[in-house]
Order: sequence, then C-alpha cells, then structure tokens
Amino acid sequence: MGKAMEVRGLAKTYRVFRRGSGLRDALASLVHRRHEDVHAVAGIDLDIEEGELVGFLGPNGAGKSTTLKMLSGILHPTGGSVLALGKYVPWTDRTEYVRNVGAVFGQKSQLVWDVPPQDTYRMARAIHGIPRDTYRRRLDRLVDLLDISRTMTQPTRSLSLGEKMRCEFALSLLHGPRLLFLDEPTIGLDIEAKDRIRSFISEINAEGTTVILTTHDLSDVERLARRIVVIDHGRLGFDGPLEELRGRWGERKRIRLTSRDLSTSFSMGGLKDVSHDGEGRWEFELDLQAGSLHDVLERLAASCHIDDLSVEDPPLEDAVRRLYRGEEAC
Amino acid sequence: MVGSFRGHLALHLEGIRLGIAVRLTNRVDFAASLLVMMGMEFVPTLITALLYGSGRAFPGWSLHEALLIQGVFLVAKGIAYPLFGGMVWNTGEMVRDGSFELLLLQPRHPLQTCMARAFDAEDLGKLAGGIMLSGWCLSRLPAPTAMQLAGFAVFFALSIALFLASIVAMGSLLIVWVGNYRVYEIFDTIASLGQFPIAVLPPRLRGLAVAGFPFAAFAVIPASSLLGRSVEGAWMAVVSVALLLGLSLWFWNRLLRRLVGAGG
Repeated sequence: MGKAMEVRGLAKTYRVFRRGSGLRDALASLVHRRHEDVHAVAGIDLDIEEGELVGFLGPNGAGKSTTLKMLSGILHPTGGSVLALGKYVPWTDRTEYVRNVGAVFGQKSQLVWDVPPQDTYRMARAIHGIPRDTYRRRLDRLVDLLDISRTMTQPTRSLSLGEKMRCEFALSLLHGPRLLFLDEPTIGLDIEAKDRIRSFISEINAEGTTVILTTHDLSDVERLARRIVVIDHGRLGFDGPLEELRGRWGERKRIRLTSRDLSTSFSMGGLKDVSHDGEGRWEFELDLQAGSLHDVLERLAASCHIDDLSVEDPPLEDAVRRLYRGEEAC
Repeated sequence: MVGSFRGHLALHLEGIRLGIAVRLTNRVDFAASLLVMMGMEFVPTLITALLYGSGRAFPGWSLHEALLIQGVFLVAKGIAYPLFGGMVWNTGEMVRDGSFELLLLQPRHPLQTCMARAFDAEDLGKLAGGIMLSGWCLSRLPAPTAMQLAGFAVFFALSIALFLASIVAMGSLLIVWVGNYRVYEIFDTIASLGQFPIAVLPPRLRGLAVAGFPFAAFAVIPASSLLGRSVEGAWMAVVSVALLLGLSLWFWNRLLRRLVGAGG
C-alpha cells in the first residue's frame, strides 16, 4: 500500500480583524480596521499510510480543523506541501482529488432537510457522475450495512440523530472514496448509536478505506484508532500509537478499591491517592516505575478488608489532559 | 461522465427534481406562495392598465405593447429565477451556517453545484403569469415576422444572461457580506425599472438603461424586437451584458478564493 498523505511543513496564517466593543469602536472600525496575523498551523509534518485509521485530537482552537480543511482541499495553506493518495495536491487538484474523498461532519448535515435521504443520494449520484449500476450496487450494500432501508425513505427532518448519522455515512461513501474524513461523527449520539457507527467505521477501514477521524470523544479514539495525532498550538504535539500516548508519562495503573476499614493514612511509594469519597470507595494511581503492583495489592490485603477491587489502565483522558497542559513526558 | 454535457445536464435535471420535491413537502405553503408571488408580480401590470384606463399612456406605446414588455419581463424572470435565483438565498444561508465549504468537497465547480441545488419551483408562477400575459398581448397585436422572432430569441437570451449575471453578482456579495439580503431588494428595485418603456425615463438614465447596467435588456429590448421596433444602442446592451456576466463570474471566483484563503 502507498501513502495516503505526505505532509511537509504545512502552515496556515490568516488575518483576523479586531474590534473593540461599544459604539465608539464600532464607528472607528468603519474608518480603520485593526488586524493581526494568527498562525493557526505552524509547520506540520505527517505521513499517513493508505488503509490507516488515524485519530486527530487537539483542544479547541489548536489548529486541528484548519489542518483537516487543508488536507481535504477546502483551504489553501500559506506554506508547506501535501501530496495526497500519491498524486494529488488537495487545493490545486481539488476536482480530481475530491472524487476520492468522502466526509462526514457530525455538526454539519449534507442531507437535504425536507426530503428523504434517498433524494440527496440521487443528487450525489449526479454530482459525482456515478454510473447507475455502480450506484445501485453501492447503495444496496450501504443500506444493508447501515440498516437504513426504511430510514432513507423518510424525510430527513423526521429522523433521529443516530438514523441521520447513518444516512450521512451512506451519502459520504456512495462514490467509493479511498479517503474518509470524519469530524465528530458520534457527537450527540446515544451509546447504541455510537456503537453502530463505530462498528461501521471499523468495517470500512478493514476494507481498505483510509480514515482520518477528528473527535473530542476519546472513547471513539480508544475504540477505533491505532494511531493518534495530537495538534496543539498549530504544531504536532504527539504522533504515535495509542499505547505510547498512554505510557508517555510512565507506566501507570489505576486501582479502584471498596473497603470500609482502610485507613486514610495508607500510603506507599509510587502510589497516589486520586480520590476517596468517605464511604469506602478509593481510587489510587500507581507509578509502576516507583512501586510494584504486587506489593501494593499485598499491602492492601493486609491492611484492610477488601469488598471490591479492580486494576485498570489509566483513562486516556489523563494522558491527553497532560499533553494539552504541556506536561513534560518521562 | 462528470465533465460531459450529459453529466452536466443530468446534474441540473436532478437539481430541478430535488427542488420540486423540496417545495412539494409543504403543498399548501407552495400553492399559496405560488399565487402570492404571481399576484405581486402583476402590480406593475395593474398600474399600467390603470394608467391607460385613465386616458394616459407611455409615449409611443399602446396598452398591449406596454403590457407585452411586462409579459416578457415575467417570462424571463420566470425562467431565470427558478433556475438560478435560489443561488442568492442558498449562498447566503450556506455561508452563514458554515456549510458553504462543503461544496468544495464535490468534484464540480462550486458555482455549478450551488446553481444546481438552487432550483426554486415557487418562481414558476412568474413564468406561467408571463406566458399568459404575453400570449394575451400578442393575440391583440400584429403577428411578428420570422426576423422579429429571431431577433427576439437573441435578445431574450440576453435577458436571461443579464439575470444570471445579476444573480451571480448578488451571490458573490453574500460570500463576504454574510447574511445581508438587502442586495436582493436593491437588485429587485433596479430590475423593476426594466418593465417600462425607456421613454418614461429621464434622458440621462436612458443611456444607462442600455449601456451601463442595461436594465432595458431585461424586457424592453426583447419586446421591442418582437414588435419590430428599434431600440437605440441595443447592441451596446449586448456588450454590456457580456461584460457584466464576465465580471460577475470573475467576482464570484475571486471571492471564493478569498474564502478558501481564510482560516477557521
């Protein structure tokens, strides 16, 4: 498989106008507008292989959306280069490139509101010039995979968020894209709807579609992505496997314990008391470089009566929070 | 198939089908809008009829000739507005809710996609009204010759081109002038001047009507051609419309480049 994306020194600076509040500033801005340059993306290098599923993370305003808009050909960068699918520069070869690109935006519907999704599908067929039999075959398969045979004949406005999202996915894949951009695809969905969407994403990725997933929902990332890219302050904050991100601040374990007689003064080297609620529910974090799990469990068993106990990896949120805060890695 | 004539035609036909489906969602609203739209467009006709009924007239124009201008205006508007008119509203709405950039994810020029998705069946009321009025006027006037009909065909195409240029220019303005639908009202006011013979205008405005912003090309020039009357400087209007169309397309592309050059 080749490269889906080769990104070198990608940068985007744009000019924003500044205006104060109040009538005086409003009138002054008619004559003279103050502006400043914002470096939304400040030089990103990235390679994505075809068939990969990459999770893009980043705090609000970090430059994540701007980066994805440049990768999808919507925005022109002010610096750097992108070679997509081995031959396209997204913003100059836009028409050819986007034939290979699909996109789903959790917060921007591409379905026409008043009519059933199947009417929007027909429009998409005309826009992409999909031959009738290919269209029929793809639609049948997507209808089957996404279970939308009834949904796609009802007006879009009458659909639930989960049904609408499944129909959005079908729309984005009708032209058989090799590259799929997903921006918050599970936002606002209930657990079951999220599961269905995630299973579908895994399935199309397994069939070879490269997926670039942007989300703030870390459970999407944990469930789907093997590789994480974190963009912060317009730069690449992290690029690597999910496990590497988890272990960036040392190997840790989260110990949850229920015990009515554990002393509040209980402590051990490497063990941090994360929380306890006064009703016997405790949460510790153990730094495995500073202490052994075996020793901690042994000491706990000796110090109190254990009603319940679990040992887990620390949540991904912790690692991401540390990354956003700029904490130094071990 | 995307780039072929058949592909382009298929896209626009699908857009028309979708536009009709959207408007038929609420049938009562559609029927009411169609009638209200038709009624509103007949106000100038009513004024003209009242004027002639009171014994006054546009100098050099009979009632049926004057009404033919308005009929032709409605037919041209009734073709241009359903096909392109919705672009103004669509562009404004898409820029406002941030979905305009999604047009760039489709393998077409965004202007074409925007146009294909802009079909508004509601405006077909203008076309129906225009055909009825023009037919009624023509039945009371001498039949046009083949030459007059050929001239009319050329100048009618010019009228559609002028509507297209105006609509593209308005859509462009909304790319940067987010949410300001006043442009539509300004245009409608100027265009409505094109429903009356040039003779009613002050002499200074007559030159502008054919060579500046040639609003006479909306209906006065095609209707005059159908009646075998000459309009001074009509061919200047052809040049003006060609320039305006080129300029509006250039303007649209320039503002689109400005949008894709922006961040967000």
